[in-house]
Amino acid sequence: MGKLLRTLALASMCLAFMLPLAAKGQAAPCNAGQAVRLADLNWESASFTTHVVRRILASGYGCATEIVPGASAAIESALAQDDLQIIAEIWSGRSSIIEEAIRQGKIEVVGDTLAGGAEQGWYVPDFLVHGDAERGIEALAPDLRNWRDLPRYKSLFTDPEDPGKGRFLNCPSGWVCEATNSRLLRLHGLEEHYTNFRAGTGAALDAAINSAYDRGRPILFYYWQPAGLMAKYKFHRIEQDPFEQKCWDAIVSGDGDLCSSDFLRARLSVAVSAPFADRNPDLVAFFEKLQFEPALMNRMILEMTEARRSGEAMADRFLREHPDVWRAWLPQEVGARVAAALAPAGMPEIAGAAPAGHGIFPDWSASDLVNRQLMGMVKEYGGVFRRVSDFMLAGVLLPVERLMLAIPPWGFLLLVAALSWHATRKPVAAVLYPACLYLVGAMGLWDKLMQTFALVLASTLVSIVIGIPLGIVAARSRVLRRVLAPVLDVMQTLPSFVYLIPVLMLFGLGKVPALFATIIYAVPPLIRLTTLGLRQVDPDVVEAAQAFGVTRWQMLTKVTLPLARPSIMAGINQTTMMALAMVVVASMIGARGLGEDVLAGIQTLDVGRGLQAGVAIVILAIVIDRITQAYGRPRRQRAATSEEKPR
Amino acid sequence: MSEAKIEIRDVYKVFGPREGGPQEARAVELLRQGCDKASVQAETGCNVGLAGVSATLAAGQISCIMGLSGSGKSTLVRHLNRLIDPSAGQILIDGSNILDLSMADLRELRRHRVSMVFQNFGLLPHVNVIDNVAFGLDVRGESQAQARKKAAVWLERVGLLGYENNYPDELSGGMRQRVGLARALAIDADVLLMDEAFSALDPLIRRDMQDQMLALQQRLQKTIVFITHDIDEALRLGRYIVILRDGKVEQMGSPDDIRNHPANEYVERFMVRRSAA
Ligand SMILES: Nc1ncnc2c1ncn2[C@@H]1O[C@H](COP(=O)(O)OP(=O)(O)OP(=O)(O)O)[C@@H](O)[C@H]1O
Ligand SMILES: [Mg+2]
Repeated sequence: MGKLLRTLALASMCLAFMLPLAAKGQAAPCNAGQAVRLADLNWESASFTTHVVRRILASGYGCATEIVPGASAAIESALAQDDLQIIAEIWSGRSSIIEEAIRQGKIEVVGDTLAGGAEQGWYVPDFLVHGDAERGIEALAPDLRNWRDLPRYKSLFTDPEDPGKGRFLNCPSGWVCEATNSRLLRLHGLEEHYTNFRAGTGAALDAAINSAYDRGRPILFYYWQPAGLMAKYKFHRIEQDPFEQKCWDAIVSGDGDLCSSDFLRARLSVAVSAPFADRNPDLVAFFEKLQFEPALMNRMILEMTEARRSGEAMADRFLREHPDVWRAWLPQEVGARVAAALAPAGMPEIAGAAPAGHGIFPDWSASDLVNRQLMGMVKEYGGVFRRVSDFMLAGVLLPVERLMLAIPPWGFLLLVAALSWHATRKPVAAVLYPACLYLVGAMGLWDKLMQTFALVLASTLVSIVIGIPLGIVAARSRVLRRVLAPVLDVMQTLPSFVYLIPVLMLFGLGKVPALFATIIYAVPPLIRLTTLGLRQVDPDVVEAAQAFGVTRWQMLTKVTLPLARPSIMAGINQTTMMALAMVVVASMIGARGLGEDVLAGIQTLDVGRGLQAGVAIVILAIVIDRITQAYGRPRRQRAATSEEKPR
Repeated sequence: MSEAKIEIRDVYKVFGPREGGPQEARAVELLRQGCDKASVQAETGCNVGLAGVSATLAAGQISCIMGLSGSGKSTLVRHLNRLIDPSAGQILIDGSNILDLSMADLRELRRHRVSMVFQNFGLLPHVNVIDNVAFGLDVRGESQAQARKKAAVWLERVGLLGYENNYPDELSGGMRQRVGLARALAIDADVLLMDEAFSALDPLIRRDMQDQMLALQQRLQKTIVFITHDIDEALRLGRYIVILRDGKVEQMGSPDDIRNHPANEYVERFMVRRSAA
């Protein structure tokens, strides 16, 4: 051990000496010899740009580089504190953190990386307006041009959760575009015709658009260019009123009088921390010149999405195939170094596509197959799944939610008090639990509490309907138990994000996929505990009942189920707890409620808001837990002399 | 002896590793050839419950089946209402083979003609005393009011009036078994099977229960199959006694027969030990 450490120390010392030596030939050491840290951005255009920048910095300027992942709010704060040096793609006016940091002089924004700027706006699939002869799709909205046409076409975009209105698919809460779109909707008076539906996450937004486009269904959404989706599909932009800087500023900030305006064509730039800019004027000069033509950028993005190439692989490809473009950004000698560092052509250029393989493993990755199958399924059976989805919505979710909303808050609190008393027979509980919920109301979260509770209630109900019968059958059938055991294990351990997006593509965005995802996670303990409870029933009692000629049904209802009740109630308790644990995840695919606030809290670094919603979730969990647990306990005080079994 | 109520004809029961598996047929074959329990077990891996039992039990009287632990008493009595099905042989009640009954007919048999009392009582712990007694009536579809009325009558007869609303775990062992007895009597079946019904009770209460049984039997005249491992109990209650050993019948006959003419050393040892006590 000691020896190893010594060796390492020696090696790093050698390196430390060699680095400045290597940089001797250049004017000044890049970033004073310190590693330059670039934000790892996950959308295609940014990932591509980041890697192009990184390659040029590394091979052209001799910088040590490092790519750091993180959520956008976290990355932006890190840049303001010089923990990060470069965010290679920043959209003007998109992020309040960046704006604030620019004002305070902590960040500098340089260059114009996309010629002409980035378009953003409201879109519908192009086939809606022009039809698509190839796919046999007629134009359903041939006259949809301007936002003023939207009310007329709202039935095309019907929101299954609120059938009188259309659905406008907004950005996830916490993104700047979410607030912008909301204000614009209100300003245009479109709110009475359309629900303002937040997608929860960017991936959810993409998945919803993908799925609708592939099935040839109408969808109205906000999006931006350049982006993979824009390169992949043909969309039709809804016209807005002409652009007015003053109005646009008001719409973005929410201050002052709102007036109508088109979306800003956002300027894409490189954001660098101010200390970094001071240290590296030559790099800043490079960023000033860095610019892609939209057509080239779109081609790159399209290829990235189609062939699922990483940004790193695409950057390599770009440097190889378009030296004329990037040479123009760089001083002669830097360009020469970049060119020299490029591996000889003909080498496998897929640097990032296949992670360095170990020779003994064949390539059996099934991800492409799964992707193809899923897309096929969405196209083929999308309609069927949507009908299931509509049924669940109309049959289970909406009634439960309507019920919850119909009860006034004081009524609900009284109900909780009555239930607490009935379940526990403790006066303290009957006062304390409603008081806790009252507190949640006082935090201004009552409506979200009800939405969350409705989702938990609905998924618990569905879980009971599925779980208890399945548990009963499994208690009887050894084969089914054998089959079920690994399936339940998978359901409980598979990270929920893995099935969240497929479920979303099949069932649509919103409450239903959230319900299904919750059920997948929450039903296993109920099945297990039902089976366990039934199998633990005293065989003597079962035999005695048998001797009196019970039918199977009588055995179940009069003997085994009542005796398994504590176990089954424990299962129901577990199910509600796990459903609550899924609330935040469910909000990522557009379920409303407390999870939404937690998520927005994370995405905007609004710690207080997230914490408050988190506390509300905990309170709800404790109240539900205590009440269901109390129902699981035997009703009667048991005598101490209960078990005396000779044998 | 009066008319036969139950006939057991050459019944074999072996418990193989798999129910109905080939080992079981082979074990029965070996038993037929006269192999004993231990060698059959060694040969086939089957546990022997009954190795060819034939007996005829008369109507309207108490017949005792006696034997040491593991001799196959419980196995035998469970054949009489088919809680266990035999590997070979026939069981006749009122002259018809109950092995031929369909599931529905079997249920009818259990609901109306054969009832049973268990060593460990087998009461429903989540239901109070009156509903436990009414269980058999409830199961066969009688209205709750009527079932409870009948149950109350039987509770009174076993001396448990006033305990209707208690739960089984609030009663003593003797009281619980009286609930079990009342439950069995309530369905008013001809045949009553009692598997070591009093074995879990202490000697004084046990004596009490035996007296109560005999008094009840005077009035009811049921065909009772009473299982016990206690020769005193058998001699006191039984009008007819079957002694089992390792799944085979050692001797059958009236208490006097057995007392005075033990068929072999095994039976004699029982008697000697008894007189010594
Ligand atoms: N379900 C079973 N599976 C395997 N073997 C069994 C089973 N039931 C009974 N046996 C075997 O059958 C034999 C007779 O058992 P049984 O329970 O009938 O004896 P018993 O006379 O009632 O004894 P006890 O006085 O202890 O109740 C024993 O050897 C036992 O191991
Ligand atoms: Mg026994």
